Amino acid sequence: MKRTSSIFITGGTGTVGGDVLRDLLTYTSEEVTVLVHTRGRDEDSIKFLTRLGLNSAMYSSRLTLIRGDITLPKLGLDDATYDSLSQRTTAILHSAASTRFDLSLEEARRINVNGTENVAQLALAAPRLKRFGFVSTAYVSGRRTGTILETELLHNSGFVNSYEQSKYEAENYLTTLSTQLPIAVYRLSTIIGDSRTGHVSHFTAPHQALRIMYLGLASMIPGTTEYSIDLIPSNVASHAIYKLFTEHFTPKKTYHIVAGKKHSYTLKELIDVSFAIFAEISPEWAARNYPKPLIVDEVTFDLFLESAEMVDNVIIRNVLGAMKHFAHQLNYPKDFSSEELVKVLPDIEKTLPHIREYYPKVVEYCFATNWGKHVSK
Amino acid sequence: MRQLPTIGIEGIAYSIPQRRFSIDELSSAHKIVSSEAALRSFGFEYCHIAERDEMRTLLESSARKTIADSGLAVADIGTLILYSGLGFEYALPKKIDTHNSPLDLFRYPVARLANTLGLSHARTFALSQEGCNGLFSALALAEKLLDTSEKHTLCVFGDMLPDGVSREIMYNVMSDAAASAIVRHDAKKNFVRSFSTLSHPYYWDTPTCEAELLAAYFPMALRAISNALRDAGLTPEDIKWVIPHNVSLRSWEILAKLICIPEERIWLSNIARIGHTVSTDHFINLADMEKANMLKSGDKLLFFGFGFGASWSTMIIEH
Repeated sequence: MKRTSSIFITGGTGTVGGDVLRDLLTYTSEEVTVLVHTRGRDEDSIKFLTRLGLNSAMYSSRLTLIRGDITLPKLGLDDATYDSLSQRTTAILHSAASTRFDLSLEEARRINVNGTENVAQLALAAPRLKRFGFVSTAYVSGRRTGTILETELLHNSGFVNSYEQSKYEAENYLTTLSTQLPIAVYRLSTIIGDSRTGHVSHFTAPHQALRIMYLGLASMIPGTTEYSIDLIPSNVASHAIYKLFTEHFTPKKTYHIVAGKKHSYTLKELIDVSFAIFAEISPEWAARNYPKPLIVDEVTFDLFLESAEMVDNVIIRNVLGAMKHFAHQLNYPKDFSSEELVKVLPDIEKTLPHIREYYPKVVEYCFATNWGKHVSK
Repeated sequence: MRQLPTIGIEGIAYSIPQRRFSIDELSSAHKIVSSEAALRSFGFEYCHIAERDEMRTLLESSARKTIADSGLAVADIGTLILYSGLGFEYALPKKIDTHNSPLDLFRYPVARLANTLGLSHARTFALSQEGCNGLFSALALAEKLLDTSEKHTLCVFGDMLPDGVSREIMYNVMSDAAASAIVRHDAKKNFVRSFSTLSHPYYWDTPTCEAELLAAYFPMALRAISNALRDAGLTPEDIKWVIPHNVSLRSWEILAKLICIPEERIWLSNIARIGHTVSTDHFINLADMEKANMLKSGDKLLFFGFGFGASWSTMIIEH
């Protein structure tokens, strides 16, 4: 029987995209095509499904893997593949992006803006398209402070890194197509790990910060003690996207998929708890008695960065080089409103655990795998 | 309630070598690692380097100045403490005969210094291995020793980097120097109000722990300073001057913000003139400030230092 709907997903190998893909295959009967990066693993759909933890016999007939690259025209696909894809696609979930904070703006734009433009071109060429979901970041708000509404995008407050700016520009580009395409935007908070297992599939800025603390190399962090660190479990975030994209799709809507203050630690709590967990899982580490990093204002942190850049210590330079691309966000306290999300998914407030309930599992996972270096294959 | 120290410090003196080298000269002689521009931006300009046998003379001359300035007779001095962070080799004259004997191991620099100064009845103590924080430990020890003696304590500090070693240590330009002071219960000034030393032996292996030490420096410094202020019942506003160790200006800019004391109240002039010495910076700075009549009776002065090993120390005195 010919299926009537076909979903095309980019970023299906990423943290969120992978989880959404798993949900799409598990809970729907739709055909799914996944764009796998040309530089990604060369594996067939059976291996791919096995890696996702899914029964290949049950799902392989619905899954098509195509190798391409969002940064290339027509996604790097040959004409026949591209035309076939555009003709059959009824829904697109674009979650592929570079989430690195240290890319040059040019490189971040190439992946996150041009990549989005190329995916949008496919959408424009898809006559049966009903849904276009774009996975973005709550930090398109950049250096804004205060309450950030889901209905807001444009601002001139600036950005802390090229990731924020390029995702902002990509969102802004999509708004220009809002009369031509049925677009919904899912702005994610920072993904920290799976709340059930602590599993981290991609180690990003917060994990890097955690590692710097573990290594006793965190001297100071900008911000205020009461700054609320919005971190969200990958499983909750991706399931919310799945629900919004499949069951509650509404074009021209933007959702903040965030934890909110009442489910979050303050910066001081996060540091204290991280140190307490490390001490508990490693007496040897506890005996080192590393001082906790100081929480300082932006001027002091910048002075520290400048000095560190002048010294000849490669470790310190690398550590601070990594931190400077995200730590400055802590100087811009903000509260992401998730009113639109809660209207559609009222249960999320109840299902989202407080970070204290799962953060130890994430830290333990980081520790056990040495931040992804010892993950069993 | 914790008992506060009851000692005072007088007769502060120092001696530095005549030979002076600019940053450019040090660079030409491959005696620094960082660029001249980086070290200049950290506030360094000159460094004083002793001749091979000069340090012994500097040590003695500083001690003699201290005894003279304090108006004490040598018989009033019951204890001599000699500190060197790098070892005492410089403090002994070379042996004349070349025959090696186990007795060579018992030629003690502190006893020699006592003998040279005429302190014929003084107890002698030699301290080492606290890097640039030896001054604080020596003063703390002096306070305890004063409880057991009617007489006063002479503390002498001196360090000389070995020949051929870089003059830059962890981004600081290092000079050789000697300094000294009398510690006594009945002092007329410089009353010690609190000590705070935080020891952290995990960092003992300095080269291996360099990055960790750089990271720990500010959090530990803030803690040591906060502890000393708390113990003395003072706030940062009460501090008239911070007497620094002469490390990078940049680090003091940062620390000033952390401890909420404006840079203008940190005596930074000697960073360019002399640079950092292992254990004598604080006395050099205090002596210069006294000489320049910058201090008034009752001024609260905060000394802060860091020593490899590692330890972070703060002392608050009332001038």
